[in-house]
Amino acid sequence: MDLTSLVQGGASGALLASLYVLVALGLTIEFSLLRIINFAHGDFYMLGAVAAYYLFAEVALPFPLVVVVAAVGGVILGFLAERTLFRRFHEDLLGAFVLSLGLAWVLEMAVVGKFGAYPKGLPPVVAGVSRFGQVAISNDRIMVIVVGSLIVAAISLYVTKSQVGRAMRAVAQNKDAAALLGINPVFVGTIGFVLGTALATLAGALVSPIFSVDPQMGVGLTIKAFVIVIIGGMGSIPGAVLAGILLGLFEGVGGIYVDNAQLAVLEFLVIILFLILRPKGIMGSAEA
Amino acid sequence: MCEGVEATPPGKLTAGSLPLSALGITVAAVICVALLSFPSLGGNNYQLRVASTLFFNVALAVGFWAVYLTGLLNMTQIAFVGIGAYTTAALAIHGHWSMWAAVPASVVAALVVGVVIGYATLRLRGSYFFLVSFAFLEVTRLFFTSFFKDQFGGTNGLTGVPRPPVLPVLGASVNLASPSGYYYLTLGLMLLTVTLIWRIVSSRNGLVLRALSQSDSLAESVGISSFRYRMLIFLTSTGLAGLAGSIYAYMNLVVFPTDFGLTRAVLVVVYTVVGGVGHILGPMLGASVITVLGEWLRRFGTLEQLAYGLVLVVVMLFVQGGLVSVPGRITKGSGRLPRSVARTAWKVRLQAMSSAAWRRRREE
Amino acid sequence: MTSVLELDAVTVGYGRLTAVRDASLAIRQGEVVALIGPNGAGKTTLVSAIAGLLRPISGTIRFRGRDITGMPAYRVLELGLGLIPQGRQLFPDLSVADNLLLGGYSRRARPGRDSMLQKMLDRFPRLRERLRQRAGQLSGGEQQMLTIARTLMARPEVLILDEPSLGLAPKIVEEVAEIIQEISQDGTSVLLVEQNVPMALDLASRAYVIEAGEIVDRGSRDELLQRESITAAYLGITDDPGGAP
Ligand SMILES: Nc1ncnc2c1ncn2[C@@H]1O[C@H](COP(=O)(O)OP(=O)(O)OP(=O)(O)O)[C@@H](O)[C@H]1O
Ligand SMILES: [Mg+2]
Repeated sequence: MDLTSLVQGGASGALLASLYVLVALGLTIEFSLLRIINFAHGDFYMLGAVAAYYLFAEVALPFPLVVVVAAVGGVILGFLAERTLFRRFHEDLLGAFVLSLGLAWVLEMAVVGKFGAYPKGLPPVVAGVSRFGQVAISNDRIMVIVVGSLIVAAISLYVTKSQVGRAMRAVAQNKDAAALLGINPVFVGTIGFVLGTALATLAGALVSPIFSVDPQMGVGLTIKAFVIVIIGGMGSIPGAVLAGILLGLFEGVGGIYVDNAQLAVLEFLVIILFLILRPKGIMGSAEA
Repeated sequence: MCEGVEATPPGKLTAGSLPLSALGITVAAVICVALLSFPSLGGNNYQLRVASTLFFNVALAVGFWAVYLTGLLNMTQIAFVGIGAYTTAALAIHGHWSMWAAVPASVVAALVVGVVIGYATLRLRGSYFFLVSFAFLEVTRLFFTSFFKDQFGGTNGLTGVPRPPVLPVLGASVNLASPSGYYYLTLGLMLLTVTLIWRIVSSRNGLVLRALSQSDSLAESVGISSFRYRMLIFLTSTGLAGLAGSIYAYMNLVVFPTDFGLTRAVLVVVYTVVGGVGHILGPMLGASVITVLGEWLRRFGTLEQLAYGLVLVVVMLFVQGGLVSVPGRITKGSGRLPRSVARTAWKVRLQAMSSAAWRRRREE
Repeated sequence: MTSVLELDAVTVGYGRLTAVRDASLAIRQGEVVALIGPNGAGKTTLVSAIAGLLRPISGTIRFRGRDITGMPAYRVLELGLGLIPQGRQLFPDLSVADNLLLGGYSRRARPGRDSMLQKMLDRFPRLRERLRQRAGQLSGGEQQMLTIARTLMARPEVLILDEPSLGLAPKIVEEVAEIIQEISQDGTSVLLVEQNVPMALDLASRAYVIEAGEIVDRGSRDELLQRESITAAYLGITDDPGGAP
């Protein structure tokens, strides 16, 4: 085992980790507030990436602006989706799942119609690579890792320190008790959904210069995000952050030694073990 | 938990409380005869092929629905279809097993894996179960994609499954490898599935658990082990999925890992939800309508999937009880559970609440 | 004297189960009124309907003359009616400080929130010592204090307490009783739900008795203490409040 490839694996792991955490955060927040699993979450991420493709590769907006536009688009998208579709399915896990499955298909097929079914790449944003001794990392990857970590830190801070964030955690733990303190759980739930969706579209735009953009890119990530949400403890934000980092590093480093399919089977075994030995996840709370 | 609680049967809780009237039996018998004689009455090959697909899908939808009734969204079903199909294909190709040996072996293979998965997951809360079942579906597909490539063929799948044999039936001979042969195979699969599932679901425990599917502890307080009952239903559904997989292998003569992925699993959900979960006729109707519709939509390419997605969203938003609820809705308001089930739920709930077990549970 | 809270023939249920039928009661400004009754009588159901957690099937609930029937809980609180729910419904994974700050979430609580917080910490010094701890780690008594303090942050005009003595040691029960007395002396009207009848009748000037979903008796403390049905049914079993496991 040589150190260079280990560090190289760690670097790709950090990249995956940033992506996973950004996407899983939304899923876990939505679950904690509304008790729903949004299967279309990964497709919101895909929409962010597709939007970035058009805005960056075709309209040639500056990249930071592209990311902001994607996030704002996510806010609008999340608000509309919550109001028109998910509102009736709060607390209805099966119903919300089936609904979002339909939504995921509609989004994917609609994008196939417009964008085409095949992957497209974006030009680099920050061209070139940085070298750390033997290890070379592209500047785009460094950008994603840095920006991603900053956003995750900002969200964590918001959820722990702001009054709305505190209200979110309260609703997640005891909805009735929160309502008795003057917190409107439906309103807080909408905020959570909007935030989660915006994080997903933002993540899609942010990583679009690195991973190629295609209409199917969301499904796999939805599954990964589920895995992270389970391992972190359904609804736990610090759990999702930690599990996302672990999974990213595990895949980054593990990817050096085994192929993707073997990695996936291994991951599944880990999840099953996890659920049997520690059903509440690493940070699961009393009420999940 | 609630030891010492007598499971006093609340009222007339037998299969009879679901509408299985003389009229119903007559109608079912007439339909069966009609179905059995369809090929000899001159159904053409295209119609027979569509009918086989339809029966196959109905069987899957009913198996999925049964597990859904216990409050679990089971995405593993298609994985077990895959396990059945790959077992059959591998044994028939590499081991030269006959159909009579390969089919039961496939069911057993599905059941063995099913017992392990069931023990590991059926005690989990609904959301966890769904996620694990989902992951299992993916992993099974990946397993056939990249493990034991010599046996399973990797992404190229397994080709060259031997054709099913010619059967002597009542003096005549039925070629199983013909459109009418496949028609009878899938018809048999569907009838077997419907009968088995119906028997379990309309048993006393089935009725009560359906009624109480939101609350395990309540069910357990009236003396039903939801774990054991779920296991029974899950394994029945799993075994039937293995059988379906085996038949799938003999019908297509090739199997690919991608045949057993998310798309097919989602379609089964679509059948069930569109048809409605309130009655066994729901998944049957849903699978039938969508199979026929899909046959017609096929000419529109990707629009086919787009249409499925839209149908799903629209049904979820506006026709929550699915197609089976529409006649009831038009004649007398809506209602998701059939009345007999709702009534049972009500009785059991009342009884449970007045029972000591319920009180004890509340005070914990 | 006009009532601050007035229930007229309120019926509440869960699905098709009716848990409380035709309940009428009234609380006047500054009063402490008790609502007593055995397990499963419908006390929690009734107060949940008042606070807006459950929607009544029929009847009306008026708060200071305003019809609040079916109004969601978060709006009822803004009007000045607070409920301290049964079983200390804290946010166990949040810190004590966060729990208190959430008490200051409502618009009603916002002006002067910090001074109110200090007031609460002065009144409940044990909470000040444990500000950074998870609320779930507090003792039962401390948790009860935290739930009370949290609701008081919004300065309710009417406060409903649902079995605040449940599962607490006698010494803590006394402390809770003292706090209720103080709250009342500050001018807050109180509806006290209790199975601990001696405690309830000690604090309240009037009481309602609810059994099997119906209000079966009402009267002043002295009237009720005369009644054999009350003394036999409730005062006899008071050393087993709630029948905790
Ligand atoms: N969430 C619920 N769903 C269905 N029925 C309920 C629910 N909560 C309570 N009940 C039923 O409503 C009735 C009244 O219950 P409630 O909790 O209001 O009684 P209580 O007087 O507060 O009892 P306790 O002193 O034990 O708290 C009981 O028969 C109970 O079983
Ligand atoms: Mg109560």
